[in-house]
Amino acid sequence: MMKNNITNFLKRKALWISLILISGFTTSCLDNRDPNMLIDEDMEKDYQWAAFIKSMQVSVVPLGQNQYQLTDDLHGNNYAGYIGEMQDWNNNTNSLTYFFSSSLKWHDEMFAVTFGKAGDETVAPGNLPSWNMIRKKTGESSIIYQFAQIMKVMQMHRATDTYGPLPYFGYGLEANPKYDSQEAIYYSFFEDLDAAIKQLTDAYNQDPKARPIAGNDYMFNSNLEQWIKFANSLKLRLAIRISYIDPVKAKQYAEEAVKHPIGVITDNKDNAALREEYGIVQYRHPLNRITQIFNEPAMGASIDSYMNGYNDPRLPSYFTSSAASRTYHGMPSGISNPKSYFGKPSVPNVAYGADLVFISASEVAFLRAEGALNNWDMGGAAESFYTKGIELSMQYYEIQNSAISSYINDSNSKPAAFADQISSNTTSAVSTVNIKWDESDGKESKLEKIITQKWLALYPNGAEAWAEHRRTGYPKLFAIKTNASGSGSVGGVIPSGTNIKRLPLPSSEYTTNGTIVDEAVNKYLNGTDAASTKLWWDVK
Amino acid sequence: MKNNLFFRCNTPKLITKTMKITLFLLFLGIFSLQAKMSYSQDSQVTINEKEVRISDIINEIEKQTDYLFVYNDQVETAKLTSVKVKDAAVSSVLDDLFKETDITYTLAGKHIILSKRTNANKTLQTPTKRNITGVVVDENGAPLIGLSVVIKNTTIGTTTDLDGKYIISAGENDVLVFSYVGYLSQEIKVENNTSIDVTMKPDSKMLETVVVTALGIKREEKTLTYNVQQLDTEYLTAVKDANIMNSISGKVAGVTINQSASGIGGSTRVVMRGTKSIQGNNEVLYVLDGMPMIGFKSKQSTNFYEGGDEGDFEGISMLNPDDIESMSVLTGAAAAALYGNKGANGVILINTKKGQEGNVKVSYSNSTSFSNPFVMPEFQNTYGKTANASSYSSWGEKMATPSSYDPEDFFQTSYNTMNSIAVSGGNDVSTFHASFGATNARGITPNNEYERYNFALRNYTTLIKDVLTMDASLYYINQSDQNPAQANLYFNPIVPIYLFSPGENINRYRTYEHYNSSRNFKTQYWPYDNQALDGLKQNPFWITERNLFENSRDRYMISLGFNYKINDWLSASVRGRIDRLEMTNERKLYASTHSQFSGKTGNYRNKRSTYKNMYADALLTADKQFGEDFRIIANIGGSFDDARSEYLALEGDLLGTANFFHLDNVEFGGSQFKKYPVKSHQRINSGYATAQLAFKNYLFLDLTGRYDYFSTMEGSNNRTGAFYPSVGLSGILSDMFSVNKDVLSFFKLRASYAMVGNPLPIYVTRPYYKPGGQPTPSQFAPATDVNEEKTKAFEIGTDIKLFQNKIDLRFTYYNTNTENQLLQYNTSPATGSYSRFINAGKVNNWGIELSLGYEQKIGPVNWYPSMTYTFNRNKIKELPKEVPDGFDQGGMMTAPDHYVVSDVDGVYQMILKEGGTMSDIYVQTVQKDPNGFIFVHPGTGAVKVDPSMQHVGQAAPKYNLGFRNEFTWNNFTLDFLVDARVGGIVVSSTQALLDQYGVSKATSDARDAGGVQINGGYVDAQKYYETIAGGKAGVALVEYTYSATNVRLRELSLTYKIPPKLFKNKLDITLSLTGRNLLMFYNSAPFDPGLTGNTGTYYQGYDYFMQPSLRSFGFGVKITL
Repeated sequence: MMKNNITNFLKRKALWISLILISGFTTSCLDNRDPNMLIDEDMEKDYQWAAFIKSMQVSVVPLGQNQYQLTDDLHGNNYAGYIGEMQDWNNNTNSLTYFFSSSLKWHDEMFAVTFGKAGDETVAPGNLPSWNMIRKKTGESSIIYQFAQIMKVMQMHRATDTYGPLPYFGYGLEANPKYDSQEAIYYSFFEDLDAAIKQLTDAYNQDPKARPIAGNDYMFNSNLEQWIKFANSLKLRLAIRISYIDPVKAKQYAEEAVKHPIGVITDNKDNAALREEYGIVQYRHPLNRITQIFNEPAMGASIDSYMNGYNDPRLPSYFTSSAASRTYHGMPSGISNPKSYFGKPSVPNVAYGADLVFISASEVAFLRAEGALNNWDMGGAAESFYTKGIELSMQYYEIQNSAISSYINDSNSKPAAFADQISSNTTSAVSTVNIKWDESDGKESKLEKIITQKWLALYPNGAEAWAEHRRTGYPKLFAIKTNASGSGSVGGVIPSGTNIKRLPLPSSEYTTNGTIVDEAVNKYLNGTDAASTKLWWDVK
Repeated sequence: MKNNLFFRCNTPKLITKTMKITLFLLFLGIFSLQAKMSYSQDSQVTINEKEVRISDIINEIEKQTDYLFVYNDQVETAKLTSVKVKDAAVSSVLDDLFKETDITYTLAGKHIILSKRTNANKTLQTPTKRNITGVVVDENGAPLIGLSVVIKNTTIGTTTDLDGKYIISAGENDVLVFSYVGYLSQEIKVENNTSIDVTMKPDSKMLETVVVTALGIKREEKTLTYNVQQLDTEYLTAVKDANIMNSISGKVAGVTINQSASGIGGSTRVVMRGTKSIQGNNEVLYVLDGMPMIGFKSKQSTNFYEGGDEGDFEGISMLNPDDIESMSVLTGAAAAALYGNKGANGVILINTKKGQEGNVKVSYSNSTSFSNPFVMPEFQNTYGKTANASSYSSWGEKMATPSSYDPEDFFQTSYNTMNSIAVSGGNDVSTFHASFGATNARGITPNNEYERYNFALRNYTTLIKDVLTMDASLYYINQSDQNPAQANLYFNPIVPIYLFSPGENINRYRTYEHYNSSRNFKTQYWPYDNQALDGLKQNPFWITERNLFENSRDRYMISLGFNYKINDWLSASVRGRIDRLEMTNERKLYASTHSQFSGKTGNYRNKRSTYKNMYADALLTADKQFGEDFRIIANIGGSFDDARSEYLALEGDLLGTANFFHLDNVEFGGSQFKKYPVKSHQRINSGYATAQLAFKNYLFLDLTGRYDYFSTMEGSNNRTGAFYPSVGLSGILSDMFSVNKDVLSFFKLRASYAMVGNPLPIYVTRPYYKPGGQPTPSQFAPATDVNEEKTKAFEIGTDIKLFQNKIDLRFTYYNTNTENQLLQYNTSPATGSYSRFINAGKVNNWGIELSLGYEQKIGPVNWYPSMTYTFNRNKIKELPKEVPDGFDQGGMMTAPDHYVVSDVDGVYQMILKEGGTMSDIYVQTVQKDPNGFIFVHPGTGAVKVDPSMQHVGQAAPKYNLGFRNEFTWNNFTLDFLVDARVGGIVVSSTQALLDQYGVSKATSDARDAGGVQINGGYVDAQKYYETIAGGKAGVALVEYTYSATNVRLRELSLTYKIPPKLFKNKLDITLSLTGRNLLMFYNSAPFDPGLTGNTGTYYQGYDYFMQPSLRSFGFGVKITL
């Protein structure tokens, strides 16, 4: 009976049950929300848009090993003479030998980190995409946007000092953004910084203890005063950079920065730097990271020549002593046999958790020294800033005062020859500049001293040191011996004995934005995207 | 089954078994009735039918009585007739029914045997009659139940019992006719025998073959409008492999299979009718018992540095080959259209064993094989190590005595034992199949182990007789492996082994760890840890013993289905499956592993993943005859396919205690600490309908339509779903027109057209921010304006059987265009986003699938040769002009009109260009002058590499040819498969590095000859090879490009079935000797071109220290009680 009941029930209902099931299966709800990701609603909670400030900060000098190696180490650090590499990538045809490959794409990385790059999680979040989020979500009048503006200038000047013209004013607004001249980009920096300095100063005057981006700042923990000093110092750096192409504006901006009530960075505690203690996830200084993990960077021959020649007390802080001889010994960059140095020279000795310094009190002192040398009102004399710069740098590395003063007063020591103990790349010193300030020196000699000491203090900020080397010609560096540049290659020929002036525009731009890149090359680079073309401010 | 390939493929064991089951079921009923009463000779029927077929009357009688009709296809039952009787005896109905026909009938027990009336020669005398007994078995020795045994030209007959035994009274001159549905009738003269045992042969004439098609719908094969190839279990498991897909190679037309280089249980690359989607999925779909399975293919390595986190793995490799009853291969889109986008690349339908009614049967099988490397590169052993102590290369002096170092000695003999025990049986209500399988294997590299335990239970129950059935199954699989082979640089012992200098003593390093007094435990011993090549930084024995990759997986598949017969033409079914996979992958790097990979105390990765797939569908099926000529079979259904996954991977250096691999001992937040918590959830809801119109049982029209709603399209402005139609037409010309069937036994033409498509990838329709300390904005512009990618497929084919099925030919031509390709391309990041989605590009594939079967008797030996031919041409018809870069990891682009889809250090690339193919390989070349002479530096004698990438060929073969031969003689069967893959190229960076390090035979030959001959002169071997084979993967790989053509003896098996008579028919024992990859008849590459390091779409034809493929010998035993 039971069975019959079921049978009868099914007989009557089976058709409908199946039709209901069919339609149910066909129409059940669908959702495509990524459970791994946040959406706008989530970001609104606790006003998290300000967290993009952190994203911008960690994208200036990327912390990921692969990215840092490409943005900073294999270009700026090598071109500034800080580093040589014990590796011969791509059969020794690579950026170190002035060969730019559209398959290696090393020269793309600074661009990618600036404008954002899809990829794995070790990639920096990208500077401008984060800035763009703040612009869109908080508006251009918000104070958060001013912090973003400062960080943007911090990153963009690194990028434009690398490539020259860049797609900037139309960023994020146009389908195929046009390129802008480096000149226009630079002048916009001053405008942006002025606006930021003004709004931050107003906020500071209202409440000096205000912390508008508390919890979202890896550099100053939202300290307004320190931010203003950072912005003024950056303005001073950029003013000095244009001092040859536009001395009038340069003087104006430099003096404005120094004379601002809050002024520029004068103490190492105010250094503009990423600091582990403000909560950076898994922080490790990227040069420490690549040195330890890749075993590729070594002490550069040029810095070997200067530091050994000067008997610089910062040597143990900068480099390891080579195991065999307990001495500091480097290797040249751009040579034919880099692998033969493997495991032998001194290597960078940056501490694991060392601050990643963007602008230091020492650098600011040297900038002011150069301004004073130009007879600008920097609030002091060139000599005092020069010695202050050396002191601040050495104090940062906790060098004893006696050692500092004997270094400052050393008038005899001169750069030594690079005595190659591993291979046959011994080269005699290219400069005879000494340390002790001599007021009777000519302006150019004084400049060489200032820039040479600034260069030693800037280590390991190769990008900045390379820019200043291009602008001033100092310090004098060893030229590369193996030059693989060629007329058919990306970046063209870089004449032997001359140093590289810029990186070619990224290969990705040629493929994704080709027409506009060609237009920019014609308009701003005299028709060729050559690595030997000087940038706008490089006119000395 | 001893028949030709065609029917091997297409007359599935399943079908004949199904029929047997049906018959058996009926007979069981009969015999149980017998116990109570004798033959119901006087059964009465009531029939009132007008103008119906004789077959309908037969059905009616079967319904009303216990009688079962047995007849072959010579009996014409389609003729129309009218019957009006009330409570009439069956015999009188039959007398009337067959009065006007040429059919005669015989009552034999519960059987009514119909046969064609012949002009009986009644003159034969049968003076003395005696009882003849015997056993009738099928080709596998299984008894055939209910088989009719009739004395020729009489109506005297009987049927076999449950053990296949019969007894009949016959005279010396009588001829016994043994007939059974699906088998060839046999006639045996009695003579003076008293016992006649018969082995039945399957009937290849049987055109009413039923095959399983999409959604598990069973269809008569002759009505299909597309190509379906079915393989039965014996055919798949003759030479067993841990991954069943490796057993299909060369046996199915239209399918190209490459085995991964990861060793036992690794994944396979199965491509049907060419690769179609540039960025989407090109994986075939596996369907288990009608329901789609999730592929679970592990992420394939796209660089040569490091493999994926989880080893190489795919879901299909977990199945126990012994649980599989048959496989249907649907190569074309029309066949697969009912699976929507998932079926776009072809479908493999796997039907598992259900159990058979009858006595409980226990079967046990063992298959054991031993393997060694099959194709190895050639090494030198006469030149010693380069003088520099820290150098690893062998550019040293010629040694006084050749070294005995042979890299092949590193490999051990691997073994693979597969044991399986199955119990099956049932009654007329319920059948079951329960099995346990164990696979235990070790690989050729030390410490590589694999084991798998399969539990399967399937139950098929009739809940309400003739109305409601239930099909339930449960599979549990536990699989674990350790150190699967990796074809890359970091943790691959083959790198230091292959490059090891013959001038050095390898035994010195076998003790891979030495006591370290400063650490108070043993640490790695390897003086070469500062080599520039990452793969040489560790002792190979340390890698195998102290860099451990351990994977374990648990998988549960539970399914339940009901089928309800609403009335005689309408039925409803509903079914569902939950498939859950849990996986743990651990990587343990012991302290003193090179600092590039591990911290001071070691490094640990722990990844736990859970995948959950739920599938359910409901289907209404109508089957109705209209008048004499028309029949409509229609289905309407809906399904839902829901996939969730979640994993958490944690990785980091260990804290204080060395080699204690526990997450509590990991430095959380340390610089090497990584966490990857990932969830995903997607669903496809579908509605579909099919209709087949049949006219006169020789003309068939197929229509299908499916609408898919994709969760991944939700958020897109366009729509959330896609409609996929297909249409097909087939006609059996040999039935439509009168032809001489002795010559043209069967001739069918078929054509079909289908459209299927791929939806968007998951989670790309709206902006997101990556959480964490530093949020990251979406890098892509939300894909709001894109549609699904569409594959439009056309095929036309014919099935021809000649000379009474002696020759069986099947031919298909197809042409597919995959348009609207969904491409994610990189935009200038200055636009504010890094990538964007568009619909653009078109890929065409056309080709031929051909199979040919033949059967021939050579004396006492039966010979069944068969051949499959697979030909495919792939062409990129269109690519967007302004585009793409880097849609896959490592992808890059060097000009606006082509994609770089694979890249190894810029020396090997696969590049897509308009007019090219999806498997074009580009490499660097040696610089030449305009006259073709290689540039040699006049001073140094060095050659120069031209860094521009040159097209050297394509990875895909021109065609594949499988040639199989089976010989049977008494109880012996010899079977071998020769497999040829013709055309295509491969590139070997392994060989380049062997040359760079001076360990290859090529380098010693060159040194012996005084250098490498270039332009007629000699250049220094070391300089030459260190230039062209420099770097981490070689440089001028044009010198390391080889034809991929290879011809091999892929499978060989010799089977002996011990005559069941020896065990009183109680026991079946089959013994076999097997071999795989026994001989390479032709191959010019330094490795097996059938191997691939990546079983995805790209990175094909590239060898980077792949573990060699295996040559295996083995034996098997199969016992059935």
